[in-house]
Amino acid sequence: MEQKNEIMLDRAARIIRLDKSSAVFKSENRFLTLTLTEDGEEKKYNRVFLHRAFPHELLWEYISVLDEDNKEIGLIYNIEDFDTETASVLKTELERKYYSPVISTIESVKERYGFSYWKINTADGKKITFTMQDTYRNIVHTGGDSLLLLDVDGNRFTIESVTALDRKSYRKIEIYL
Amino acid sequence: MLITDKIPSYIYDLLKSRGVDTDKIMLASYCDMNDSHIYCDTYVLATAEKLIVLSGSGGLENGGRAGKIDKVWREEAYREYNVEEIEKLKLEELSSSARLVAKMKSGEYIFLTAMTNTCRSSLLCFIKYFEKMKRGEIKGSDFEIDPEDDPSANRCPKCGMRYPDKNRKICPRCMEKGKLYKRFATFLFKYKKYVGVMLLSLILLTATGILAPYLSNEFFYDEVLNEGGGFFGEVLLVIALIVGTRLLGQLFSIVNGLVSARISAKVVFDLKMTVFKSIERLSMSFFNGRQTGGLMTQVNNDSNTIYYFFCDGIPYFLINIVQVVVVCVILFIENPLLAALSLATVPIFFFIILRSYRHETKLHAKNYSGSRAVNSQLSDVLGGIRVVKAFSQENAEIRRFNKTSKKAAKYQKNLSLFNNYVYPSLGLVLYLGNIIALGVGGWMVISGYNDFSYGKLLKFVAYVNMIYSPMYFFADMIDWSAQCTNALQRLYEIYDTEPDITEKPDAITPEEIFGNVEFRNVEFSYVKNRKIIDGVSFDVKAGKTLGIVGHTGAGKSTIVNLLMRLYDCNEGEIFVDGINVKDLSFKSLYENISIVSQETYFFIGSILDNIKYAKPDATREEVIKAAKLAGAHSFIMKLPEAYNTMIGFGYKDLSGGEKQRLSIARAILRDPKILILDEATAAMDTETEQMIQNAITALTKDKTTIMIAHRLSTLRDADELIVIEHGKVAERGTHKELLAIEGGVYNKLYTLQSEALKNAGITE
Repeated sequence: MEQKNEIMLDRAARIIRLDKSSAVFKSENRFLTLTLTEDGEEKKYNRVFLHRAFPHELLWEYISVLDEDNKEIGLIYNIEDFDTETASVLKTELERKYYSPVISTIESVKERYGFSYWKINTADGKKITFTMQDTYRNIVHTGGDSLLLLDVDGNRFTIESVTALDRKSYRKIEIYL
Repeated sequence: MLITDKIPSYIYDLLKSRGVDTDKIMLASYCDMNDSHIYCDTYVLATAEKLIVLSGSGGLENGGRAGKIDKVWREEAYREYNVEEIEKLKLEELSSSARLVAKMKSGEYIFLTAMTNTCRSSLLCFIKYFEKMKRGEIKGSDFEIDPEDDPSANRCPKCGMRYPDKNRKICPRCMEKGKLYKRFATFLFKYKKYVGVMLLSLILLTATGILAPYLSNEFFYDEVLNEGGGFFGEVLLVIALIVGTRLLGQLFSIVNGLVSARISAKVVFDLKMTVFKSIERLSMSFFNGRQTGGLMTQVNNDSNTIYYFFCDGIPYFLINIVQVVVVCVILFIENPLLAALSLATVPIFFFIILRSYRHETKLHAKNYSGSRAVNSQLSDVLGGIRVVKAFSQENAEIRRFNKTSKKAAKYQKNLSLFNNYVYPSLGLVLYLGNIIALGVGGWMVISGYNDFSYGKLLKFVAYVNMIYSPMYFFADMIDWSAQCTNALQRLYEIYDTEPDITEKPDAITPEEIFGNVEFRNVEFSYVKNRKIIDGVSFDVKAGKTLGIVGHTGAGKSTIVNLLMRLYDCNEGEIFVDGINVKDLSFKSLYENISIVSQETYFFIGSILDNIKYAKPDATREEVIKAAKLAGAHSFIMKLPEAYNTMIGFGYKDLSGGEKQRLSIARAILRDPKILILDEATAAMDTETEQMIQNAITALTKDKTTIMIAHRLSTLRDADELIVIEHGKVAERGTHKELLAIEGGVYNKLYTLQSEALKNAGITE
């Protein structure tokens, strides 16, 4: 019995590591597909989804690969375990999933009635306005001096280095830090 | 026709040029990305035959996100699909974006477009109506739209912006400060008598204050001590006058204090009650998004802030304005040149105040967040002190606290330093005015300028000083009013929130509830698009027992929440005795349903009070009977204070089993027609469970019982069982019937559990 338990525990704790030896990721018709080779057997998943295990800390490591029913197929330890082409496919997919424009300057922040209204410029030259609720709690420190801002709709915005912001922008965000 | 977002006219023109009959468009929506997740304008439209996806950018009436408006529409893609060939549309939620995907009847998936989360709710609405269209439930472009799906209902009618929270129709941008104050002033209106007396006493107080310098300076020196004065030598008279004014002033001040003390308690009480009542009537969903602790602080602090601003701040503000104006008039009449000179520093004072205001606000905010961090860490660690000790992390916690505390101390130091150099310098600026008045005034007295006498000079200086204290007050007022506005905003935010679950005005209260329960195609999701309950149907006849089985997170407790109307289902219907629960009055619903759950909560009070909570008019005998049935009586009687033992936060701590038995006693006393047991015995060891099982049997007798349990053995005797998987009813039948399904979910779960129990040495 004990042995059986151990096997069960072992199975429960087993991590299926996906790397270039076992997994082939491709982008087909804009959907990510996976062909998995396990014990000499090939299995194709027409639609797989990626999910970061540590979205605030590690952007390209510990990526869970899920099937259509949200069941984990395996874990990518580092997307660099794959060749550059596959890594770039994975990177694009992740960037789309965790779409978060990079804030370059903050034009204005207005606080009203428990909400704050932001007007910002993104690094790729877009002007975006968004609304945040409970601003203190929705600005997340993501290591170093980078920040993640979550708006009322669940959109994300990144500030890569808060100290590198220009003085005017910094003064607008300063009180929330 | 359902248009979730504004579709510009040139899009219609474009469609026409492509041969689309735009009159036939039934559904239209807007997305802010294309299928490569790049910002652009994408329109998704549907007629009964075609689904059209059009992407591009520019256009004069650009309804898209903020950006440069360009007159030229640059088309990127135009795609058409036959509605016939589409099996269904799906919105796949990614973390901060979503994508619209079509599953074709051929089994193939087509990526239609991506969007940011901002467009998600519009598209969900689109999909809902697309499905209705496919099922033939809506035809033509003239069909009825659910009020909750009406896009205009979720936007501020004034500025057109979407409400940040759909359930709270508040547009923070259009909320006006003036209106806020006006609204609160009407609240104060019922205290008009008190407020009137307070204002009057303040005015009189100010008047005596203004009179005093005249009597003790000009009148005393020039009229009484001066040989040529009208009252020369009448020292006693002037002393009597001075004392008289002072006494009068004191009297007005006492009256003001008495009235203020009386009204302040009333207003604060009234405010707190208003907020508390508003909070109590709100639905569960309001509390899910908030910290309860924060709400409590809000109720307490905000009422005080608002009260002091309105009952202290505003009256003093008005009085100070009057005082400043009156004193200025006196000064300028008396000696315009000297008045102008000595008040010259006032603008400098305000200049410094305004310059430092921003910096000070920032320091205050930092100081506040610092002390908040210390408090929250303190309550966090003290609340979890057992865990800290268990993992012997005391030192780590001390270090962590030290760090936070040091930071808070630094912020406080910065603030005090700032205050300590700004306010004295401000004092110095004002003092300069005083010196000018003395110096120039002294010279005027000596040179006999305009008959300016020694008495007048002293009076003049005294009046100049009367200008200064209101100045400090005005400077404080800026900050004060900002705080009060915030507090008022928060207050009305709660006050204005509409509970999502309301009782119908014509709700039915049947004479008797028998306890037949029926779920018909019920669908529900806490968050849009994530169905927790997906088409669940079942029925329980009065007096029967239904067991609900399923994995963690399968949606078992949600079924109960829906029956209790803690939430309302999105689709489908729930009936009690054939009446839709939405039509039942709250009274008949809540009086006839009781719940015993894994989490037991007792309020601070005696055991007696807590059992009686379910039925406040119960007799002592009834309470004891209920406790006996629940198997609680024996342990209660072992306590020295028996039924009068105080329990709840900070009092006697009961064991898990004891608490559970009390909560069963509470439910027995209630004697509901429908009883819900939500994992009532999950936290118990087998022995305690067995003891409680008897109590439960007593409790469920002749009642409709819905029993949720992890341990399947407790459900064996249920009249019927349903197995919930992914929000759906996967299996249904008696214990025996379900066990007989080879490879069935129940069969698997049961085998697994009995094996595990056997391993643990327990046989059932």
